[in-house]
Amino acid sequence: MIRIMLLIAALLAVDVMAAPPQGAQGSNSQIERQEWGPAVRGLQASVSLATTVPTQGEPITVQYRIRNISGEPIKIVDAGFWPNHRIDVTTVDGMLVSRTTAGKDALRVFLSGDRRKTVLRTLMPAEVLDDAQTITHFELRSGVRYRLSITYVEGSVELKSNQVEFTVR
Amino acid sequence: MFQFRVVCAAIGLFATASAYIMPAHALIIDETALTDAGEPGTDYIPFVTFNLDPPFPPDIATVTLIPGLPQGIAAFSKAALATYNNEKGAQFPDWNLALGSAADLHGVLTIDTYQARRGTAQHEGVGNAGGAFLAAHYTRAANDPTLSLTWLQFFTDNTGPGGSLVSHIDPNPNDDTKEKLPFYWRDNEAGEKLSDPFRDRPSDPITSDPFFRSVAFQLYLVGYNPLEVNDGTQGGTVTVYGGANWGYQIQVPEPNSAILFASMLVVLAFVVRVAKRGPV
Repeated sequence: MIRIMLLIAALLAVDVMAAPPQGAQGSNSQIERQEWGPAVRGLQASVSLATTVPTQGEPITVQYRIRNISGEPIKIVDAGFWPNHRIDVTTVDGMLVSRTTAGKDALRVFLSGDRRKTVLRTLMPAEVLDDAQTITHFELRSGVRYRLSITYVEGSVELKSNQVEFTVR
Repeated sequence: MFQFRVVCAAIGLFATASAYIMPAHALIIDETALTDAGEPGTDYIPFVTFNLDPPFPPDIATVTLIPGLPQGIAAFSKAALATYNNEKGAQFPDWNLALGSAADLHGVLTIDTYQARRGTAQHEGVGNAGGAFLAAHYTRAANDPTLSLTWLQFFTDNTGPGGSLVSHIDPNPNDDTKEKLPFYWRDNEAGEKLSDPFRDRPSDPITSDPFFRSVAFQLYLVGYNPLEVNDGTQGGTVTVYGGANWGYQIQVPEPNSAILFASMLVVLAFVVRVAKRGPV
């Protein structure tokens, strides 16, 4: 009996230690556990789903991060997100997904190459840029499994995130 | 070329018509730090020319600041108002407008930097692209409104079908995530605050030869209640005061025009040389 109680206590302790502290979204441990895309010129990007189970017709919130894994400060361009970030959503079979009006607008701005709001931001070594984005750009259907990725494109820099999979309820 | 000139004229008229006469004792626009009595310096580059890179033939592109110096705007322009109301539902729902004027502000809007630039923010000084850089900040006066102040920017460019004019509240589409705000700066990202000085380095790729791009900005100082920002409820009231016009044009003339221009320069140089020699 004592052994069982000790085992339960040990399991609880492990669980408590593994759980992120309240309000520590984007903490170091969480960022380390994150899946990241390939490194490009000292940068890596990551996307994860903030919406637990996406529902058809509802926006999807994603957590998007860029981190500096070089030893030097790196300048990145904040252009109001949509002009220099391409959002790709396909089914797991690789079929393209239709875009909503908002999705078409965002893609048009992205493809134009025009930049209106543009601010340079310096990312220091090991610094992580953490941003939530609400995506309403695709006609997603209930019961279908999708794959989503975000690519930061600025000049010759093309920084792909990991791919995240989800099924719409 | 004729079409380019018509668009130029239209944007010029638009900018002029939308800026009302600044009343006395209103917002002061300070450009002295930038111009040193109107002379171009590091902080002020009114135009830049450069040779296009391949695949284009060796033509010259010119980026020109339009207006040459930012000009004061006394109140929210009719075009900005119409665009705001048109985009409000989708871009920043329930953010209602209150119309003030530059006369409500008594501080100084300092233009720190105004430059025509080649390239983009990521790749300055190179490539087939051009744009501008504007940096500005506002110093409050003791008798200014008690609302917090930030920036709202309206722009018009000729990126519509067939070079037609398109207007938006910047940025478009809105990328705010906590609350959809009408402001240029956001208050929901690391390192970005609504109270920050204004910075913008817009650019456009040169995609053809000849090429013409015109981008006109109206930058406004606006007031808001910070308790209404990211408070869990979408919406609030934004009070628009005055601001300043700025913008740029990128031109790559038709090859014939470039040859004609070069020929004129040769003839002019010859005439000047003859004139300097004096009568024979």
